[in-house]
Amino acid sequence: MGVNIRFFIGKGGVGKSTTSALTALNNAHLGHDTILVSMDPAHNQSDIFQRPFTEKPKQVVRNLAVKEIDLDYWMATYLKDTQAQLKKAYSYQSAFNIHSYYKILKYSPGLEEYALLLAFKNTLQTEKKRDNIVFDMPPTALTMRFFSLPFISLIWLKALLKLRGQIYDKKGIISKIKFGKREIERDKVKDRLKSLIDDHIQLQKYFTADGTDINLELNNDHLSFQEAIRIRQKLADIGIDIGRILINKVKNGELLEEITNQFNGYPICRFPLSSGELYGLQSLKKYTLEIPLFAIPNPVGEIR
Amino acid sequence: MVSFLDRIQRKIVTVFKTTDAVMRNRAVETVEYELEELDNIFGILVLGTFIGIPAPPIHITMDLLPLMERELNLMLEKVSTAQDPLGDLFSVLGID
Amino acid sequence: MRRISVRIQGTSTVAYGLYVAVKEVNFGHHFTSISGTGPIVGPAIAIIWGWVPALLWVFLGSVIMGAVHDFGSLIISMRNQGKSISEYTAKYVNDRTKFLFFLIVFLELWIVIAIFGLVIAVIFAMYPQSVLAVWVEVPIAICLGYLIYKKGANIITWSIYAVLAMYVCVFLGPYLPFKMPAIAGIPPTGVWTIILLAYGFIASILPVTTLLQPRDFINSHQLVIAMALLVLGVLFAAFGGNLEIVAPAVQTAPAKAPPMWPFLFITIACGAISGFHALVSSGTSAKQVRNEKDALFVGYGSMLMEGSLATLVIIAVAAGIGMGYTTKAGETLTGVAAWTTHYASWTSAAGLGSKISAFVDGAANMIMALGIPKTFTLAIMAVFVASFAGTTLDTATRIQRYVIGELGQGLKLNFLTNRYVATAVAVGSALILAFATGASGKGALKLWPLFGAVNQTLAALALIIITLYLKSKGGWKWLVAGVPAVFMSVMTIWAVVINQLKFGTTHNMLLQVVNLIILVIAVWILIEGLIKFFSPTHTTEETAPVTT
Repeated sequence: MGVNIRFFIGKGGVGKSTTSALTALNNAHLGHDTILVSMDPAHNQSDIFQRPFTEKPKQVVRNLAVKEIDLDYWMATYLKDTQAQLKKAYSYQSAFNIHSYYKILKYSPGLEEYALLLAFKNTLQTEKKRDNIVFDMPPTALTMRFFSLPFISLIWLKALLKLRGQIYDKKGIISKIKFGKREIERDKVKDRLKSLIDDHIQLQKYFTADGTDINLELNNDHLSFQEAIRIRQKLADIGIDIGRILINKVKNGELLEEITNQFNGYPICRFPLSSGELYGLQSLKKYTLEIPLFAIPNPVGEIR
Repeated sequence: MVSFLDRIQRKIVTVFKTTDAVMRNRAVETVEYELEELDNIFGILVLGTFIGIPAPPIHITMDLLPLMERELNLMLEKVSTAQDPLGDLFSVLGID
Repeated sequence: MRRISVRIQGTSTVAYGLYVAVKEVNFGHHFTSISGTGPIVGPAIAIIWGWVPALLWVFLGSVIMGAVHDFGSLIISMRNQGKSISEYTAKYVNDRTKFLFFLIVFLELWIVIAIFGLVIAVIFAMYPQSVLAVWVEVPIAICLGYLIYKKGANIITWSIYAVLAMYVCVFLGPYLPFKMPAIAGIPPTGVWTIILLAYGFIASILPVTTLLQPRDFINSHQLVIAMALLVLGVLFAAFGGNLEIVAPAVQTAPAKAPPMWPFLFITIACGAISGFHALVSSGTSAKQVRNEKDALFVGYGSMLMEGSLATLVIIAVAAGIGMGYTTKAGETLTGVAAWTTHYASWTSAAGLGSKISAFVDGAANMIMALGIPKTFTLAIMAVFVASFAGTTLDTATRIQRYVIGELGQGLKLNFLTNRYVATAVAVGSALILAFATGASGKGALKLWPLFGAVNQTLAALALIIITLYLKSKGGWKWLVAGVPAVFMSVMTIWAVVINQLKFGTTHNMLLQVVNLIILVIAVWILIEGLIKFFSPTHTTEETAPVTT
């Protein structure tokens, strides 16, 4: 029995931060040790709870801690680490030339989502004693890159490993012919590729494990509806399934039937539009009382 | 007299050893060149981001970079060959 | 930035990718790269002008011109980070000449594929006992390649088996001769040419380790054995047998053959001076040689070794042939009569075929002095020449495929970059050229001067570059390369002009066109070289020579 992971994803502005906060509060209220992790660079949780959050978790109420990921920190740490490794491994001249490339690498596409993955892994590591981890995810684009990164990486890694294997075998043959015996040093790159593959397979497992829930959130308007459909498809393409559909800020009955039909088969939760702004711990608690049947996803129970 | 025969014998042994080395080299010459190219390709695939071609997710490149000094150097060397491989082709394939 | 390597067994050092080897091994590698059918066919034809000119040209040519050419190309390449000649042409002459380069290479390979296909076809026609072994080499090589490169079997054991298997087939050959019939009106030689070029197509598409590399490897063994046999044969035949010179000493204007001046100098290329070597020297050799002193040994040494192979050939066709030759009619001729059957004229007997058979028979005669019966020695020699020509067919097609792809890209004909299309064009164009001389192979000899001319044009270009390089160093050093450069240019242009007039009268359109292109290129190169030579001094910066 490991820790339960809950992702909240969806188009920007549908109310993920609020919903994830509500969920986390509910879980904590039910007695589960919960941490709410904001992966969104917009960092709305600080606004919602009306206090600043950092990488270091802060206790908000009993059973609930909150932390905010600092993406810049993770990117910078990663680059610094690799640079240090490079300096150690390369001869002086080469390392000297590589240095100039590092400035450009900072802006590489792909670095952001990798930093997010690093933060994710780190969170799993440090918070594994908890019952629940609730992840408030960034807007769709970055979130999609986050989820597909292990998948894409594995495709590359497997192809690279195959090529590397061929190279290694050829070297063995050449060595045998030239010197009478196969004597080639261990291929560090091949080993590294293998361990990277293991790492990424592990990551994928987190996304599809039983204790993991992906909550796809939308409002009952066309734009977020369409986006939700796309998100579901894209995730299906890489083998990740949605756990639950959340319809937030429901004002009138519009589209509800369409949405229900489209996502037939998934558990669906509805959150009515709140009368006031959900800002601050008090108004959050008040909202939970407003809803007749409190339908916020919890680890054990189900929905309507 | 003995030392003279000795020298002859050593000469013959050297000739044999050299022939053996030459033959072994002949046997692998083209394969080695092919291997160089495979190494080059591997380098280009991983480090493609440095030369503006589609590359793996950046973290794979960065992760492997510290282990690929040799490939990087080979890539840089091969740049001039890629412009004009005729000389290499002729000598590796041994045209007469 | 050269990274070297691990010292192993004191005989060679290796680092994958960057290869530095001890000079003897390097020399052996360089020599085995440049030896082949070239130094055999050339002298075998050139003997028609007498053995003195041929021998003098081989000796003096290889020392004064060939070695300078090879060594110079090697050094310039080493001093330019191992760049090949086509690249540093742009640096020392100008960019236009670099474009010429590709054109020259294309022409050269085109003619080579055609000629070498014909050479093998002609050998098959004249020596049916060689057919078996030459074709059996293919499956033997494939098996050897599979065992060594895929299964990692012991190379010494299996290469001995492979070579033994080869020679078993060589010795079986006389009992299983194969005479190709004429098919669909095409004479046997023509049929063989088609088959061989088709083989070239297939062979050049396969991965190198499947056929090319092991076949090349087996051939190197054949080279060593054949040369050893030849040398021993010469010694034994000279001191024991009846080896005496039957060729005339000098014959500057034999009837029905081109004049010695200038044709001698383009007929014997490999063995005296050959443009191909500029490419080989500036290729991997330049990257493998340890330092410039070793380059002297490698460049000069292998050129001289090739000269010695050419000398052996001359002995075979000048004297060995006199020991006995059986004509098709069954008559056995000796002495001068044997010689004259082959060399009465350019096209006597069977044109190219007769010149090659002069070598094969002559060499076979000499080896007979070692006690091996003639049928077998004939088979050994015929298979030797054909095997080498066969590998060249394969490698030339590969490179031509690349050249055609590049030309296609440059001319926006992108379908030429498809490897099958390019290979088909390479082989097909050669087939057309081969048949342009007549499908019976009798006219094949016309192609050799074309080949020689292109080769020597390349050599002249390399010499011009070396001259320009030396001139920039100051003093009169440049004469060392300058005189040969002018000599080769003049001889080549002269020969091409004569040929142009001859092809004009025989109305052979294709050959006329090809010849004309060669003429234009040769003159162009000479002019560019002269312009650059007389233009105000330029400094050529170079990086420090590559040393360990």
